[in-house]
Amino acid sequence: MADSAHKTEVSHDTVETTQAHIGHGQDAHAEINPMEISGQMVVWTWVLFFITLGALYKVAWKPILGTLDKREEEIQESIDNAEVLRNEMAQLEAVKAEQLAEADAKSKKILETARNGAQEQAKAIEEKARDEAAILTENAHRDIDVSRALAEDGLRLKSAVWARELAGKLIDENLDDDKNRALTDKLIEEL
Amino acid sequence: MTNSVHIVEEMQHQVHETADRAHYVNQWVMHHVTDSGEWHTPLWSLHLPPWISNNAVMLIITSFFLIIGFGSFFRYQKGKAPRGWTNALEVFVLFVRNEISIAYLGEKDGRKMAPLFLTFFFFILTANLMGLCPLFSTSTGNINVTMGLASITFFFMVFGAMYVNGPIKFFKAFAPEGVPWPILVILMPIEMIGLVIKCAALTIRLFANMLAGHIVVFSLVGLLVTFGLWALPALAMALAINLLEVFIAFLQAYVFTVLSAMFIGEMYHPAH
Repeated sequence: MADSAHKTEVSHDTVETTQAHIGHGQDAHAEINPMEISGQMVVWTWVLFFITLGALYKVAWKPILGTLDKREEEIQESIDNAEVLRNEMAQLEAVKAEQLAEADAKSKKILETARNGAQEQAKAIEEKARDEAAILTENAHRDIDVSRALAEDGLRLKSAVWARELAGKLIDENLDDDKNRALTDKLIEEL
Repeated sequence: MTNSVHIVEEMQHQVHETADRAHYVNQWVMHHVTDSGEWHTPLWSLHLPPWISNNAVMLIITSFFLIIGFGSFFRYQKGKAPRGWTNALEVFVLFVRNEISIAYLGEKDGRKMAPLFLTFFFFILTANLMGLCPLFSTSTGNINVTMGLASITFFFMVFGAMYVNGPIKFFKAFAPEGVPWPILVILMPIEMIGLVIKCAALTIRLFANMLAGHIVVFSLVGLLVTFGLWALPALAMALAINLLEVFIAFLQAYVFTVLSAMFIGEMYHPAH
């Protein structure tokens, strides 16, 4: 019972405290309408919003948005520059490839020319060697012919001498030397 | 017999007492979530002059916080990447400008109108968050404040669009091409009323969301007053709802700003 009385006392205290908190001359039972329209509050809102807008435009939005725009421009500029550089690089790559192709073609041409030159030179050397060999062979043949002719002449002469000597020996002393020589010359001519 | 009569009386008494406490809790909750001529805190209790109310004081503090905050937190150093608060706030500034203002108004008008939407977003966000801090109250839980903000959107929807497109084009926007005139007679007034309804929806949405959240938090705390320690778990729920309110504060600031940009964008570029 005493406990119940205590609880009642506490709850009354709480209600009174709440009432006092709400109160300040207001009727605690008066209806509070959150939908109540107040023109004064609307005007306060306008005034404070536009003051805030103006002040923030000055201290914040203008410098911040300006900085962001500037940064965007710089980034865009960098992107554009990178694009230009990329295009330049691509052009340089193309020029490099073209030059490499040209150099390759030139080197092939030089090699081809050198090969052809070497082949022609080899051919010329071979022909020259062949000509020289032919000349040498011809000379050798001529020498052989001359030597053979000389040998034949020598042999013929020797044979004539031997024949004359032989014939002299056979005929003995019938013929003199002038007759023998004439006969021998005749024989040689006949030979 | 006497004993049972006593028990019944005791129960009746307790029921009346709980009802009384519930009534006062209701008064207490409504007192805390509505505007008044006083500013109560655990530290002080101010009686404000008749020309200013508690929510007006909160709006002044909101403006003060924003101007001081942005004036001191935003520091750009030439040639250096932004850091700390500057970097954190810049994310929001960029988001509002690119994803809200430019997205709904186009490149040219979007950039020009970005300061308005940035102010809308940060003004509402700060006012919403202040309501979650001790000592302060939620000015955006006041229908007159949200009405004031929505009327600024309305002003730009009407006069801004007239300035951008000219008065004739402004009225032509209510009459789509190819629509027969008997239908236009009905359609044009509906479209014009639609302007007001859109702004009324902006007003109610922000006001109701902020008010409802605070009523829920205070009601849960009020359960402690009504039922004593039995309602202690309600305190944890109030804390959870309060954390949810932080998210709601951001969400509602975003929603108000996006819808304002959308409505103004529709009037600036009616062909789209």
